[in-house]
Amino acid sequence: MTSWRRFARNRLAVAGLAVFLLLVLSALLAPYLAPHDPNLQDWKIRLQPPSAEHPFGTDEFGRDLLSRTLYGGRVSLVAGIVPVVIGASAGTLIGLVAGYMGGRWDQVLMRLLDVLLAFPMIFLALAIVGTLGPGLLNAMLAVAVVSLPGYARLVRGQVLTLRERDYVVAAQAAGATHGRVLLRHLLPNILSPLLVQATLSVGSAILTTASLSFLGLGTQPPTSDWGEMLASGRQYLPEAWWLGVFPGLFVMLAVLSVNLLGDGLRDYFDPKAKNER
Amino acid sequence: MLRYAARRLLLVLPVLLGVTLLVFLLFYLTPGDPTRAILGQEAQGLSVEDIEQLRHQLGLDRPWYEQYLDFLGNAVRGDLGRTFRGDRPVAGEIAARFPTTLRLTVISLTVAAVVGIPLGVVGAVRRNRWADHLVMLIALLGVSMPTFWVGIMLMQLFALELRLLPPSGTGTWRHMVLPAATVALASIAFIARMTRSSLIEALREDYIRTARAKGVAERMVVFRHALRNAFIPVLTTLGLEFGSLLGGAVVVESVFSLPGLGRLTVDAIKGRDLPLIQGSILFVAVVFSLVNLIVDLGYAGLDPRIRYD
Repeated sequence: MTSWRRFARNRLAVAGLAVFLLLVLSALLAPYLAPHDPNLQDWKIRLQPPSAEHPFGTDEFGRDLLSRTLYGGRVSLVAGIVPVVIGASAGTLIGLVAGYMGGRWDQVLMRLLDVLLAFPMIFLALAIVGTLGPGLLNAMLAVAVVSLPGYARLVRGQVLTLRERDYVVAAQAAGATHGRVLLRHLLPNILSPLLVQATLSVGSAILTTASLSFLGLGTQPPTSDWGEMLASGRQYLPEAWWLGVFPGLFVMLAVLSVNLLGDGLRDYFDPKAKNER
Repeated sequence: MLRYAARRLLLVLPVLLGVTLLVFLLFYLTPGDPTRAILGQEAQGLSVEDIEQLRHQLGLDRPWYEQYLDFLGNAVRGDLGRTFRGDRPVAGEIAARFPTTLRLTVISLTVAAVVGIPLGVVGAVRRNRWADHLVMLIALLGVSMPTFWVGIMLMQLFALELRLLPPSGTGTWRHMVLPAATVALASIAFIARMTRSSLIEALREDYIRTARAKGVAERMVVFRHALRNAFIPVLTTLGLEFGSLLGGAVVVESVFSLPGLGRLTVDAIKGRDLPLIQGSILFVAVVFSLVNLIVDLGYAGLDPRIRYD
């Protein structure tokens, strides 16, 4: 059976992949898909309920909410993916060094991570945003740092079990450098758990950056993402429910779809664990 | 047990020291001049010499390690400095706000445990049947919904449309219902998943087969034999959840206008009030570390195997 067919037996995972790709595609193609200019203000049509002309309604400035949601997705999805790439790369590097070198390196690096883990996640993110100042870039950096210990611990654990394997010892005996052993022999063998963890954390990265934006500490107007849209539409909510429903619904769809995909990948790479759950 | 407790206590001290150092350095390295930040608007009328003198008075011209030792010494004695805005003691601000956050967190954790654990048990006992699928669906939705959105939607429905509960503020228990439900939702999902998988694992043990073989009623097997053992990892989860509940409180306090620690921190960040940000973050990290310590000790008390590693 091909690997795709094996993966595709998990219908929920395929649905997750499809929805997430659809969201990414709609964000990429926002300029072509959006029915209106997302920043065009028109006071004559402010706070209009969903209609054929404006399927998601209009906001307090008369801007088309569907267009804003599509454009906001560009920011929210980038804010979900970029921190994962940064956090996973840095965390993997730390985990590789700690696990492979062992001894003092391991001790020092792990104690440093313990310090990061002593903060509840969002407070660590708040500390970083508080230091660097509010803004999307700083929020993404904060989310990256927050996720870093998770990857480092995962990778370190994997390296500890793999480094005694025959093929690693053989490579070392053949005179391979540390760098070569790490990158050519160890890293490829830990890619699958890493991919699972990274996929699952795209969801929490989207949630955290959206929360920071909602608190006014992430994306700053006039740039907008789903969290910021909810924050600015909030005061009109009693009369304009659509301002609250749609941005939140898109955050949920994005997070739900990557979570389903991540669960599916985990079952795919580790079918034995599936029977235990 | 005492030896384990002593060792665990010794381990937490360097971490706490690291936490104070990290918090100090984050703000020591903050771009911008703290002396000018303290002065705010007043800085414009002052000469460079005046500002230098104030910096000297504040001790900000000394090397960083001296400043850190000062910060540490003061923090240990409960002095977290004074706020930039309003010049009030930071510790006093935190003491005034923390009870609201603590109440919200404890109520939410209780709700999450009371709802999440039975859901997990149902999922495990009715594994792969419709009740289990329903539980897993709830769990999946629970972790995928943004807290602030859940809060706003609950507020819209129960406070603004149905007018059953107050939309914001504090005062009576009715003010806590919506915030606590909002914070609890994600934890319910997490605890239900954890309970389910832990119980499924316990039900596969040999002693369960033995119990069934000697004719113990299924109800007794699940509740007396399996659940007791499945409960230990769940307890750890509850401890870890305390941290994410504190985090959830940050967002929920902003949604429901509760005067808690989370909102204090967010407002401090927006106002660039460094001592206040520093103080509240340090406080939360210490509380979180102590909660984890207590959970670890409780874990070791329940499961003797932990003590001998």
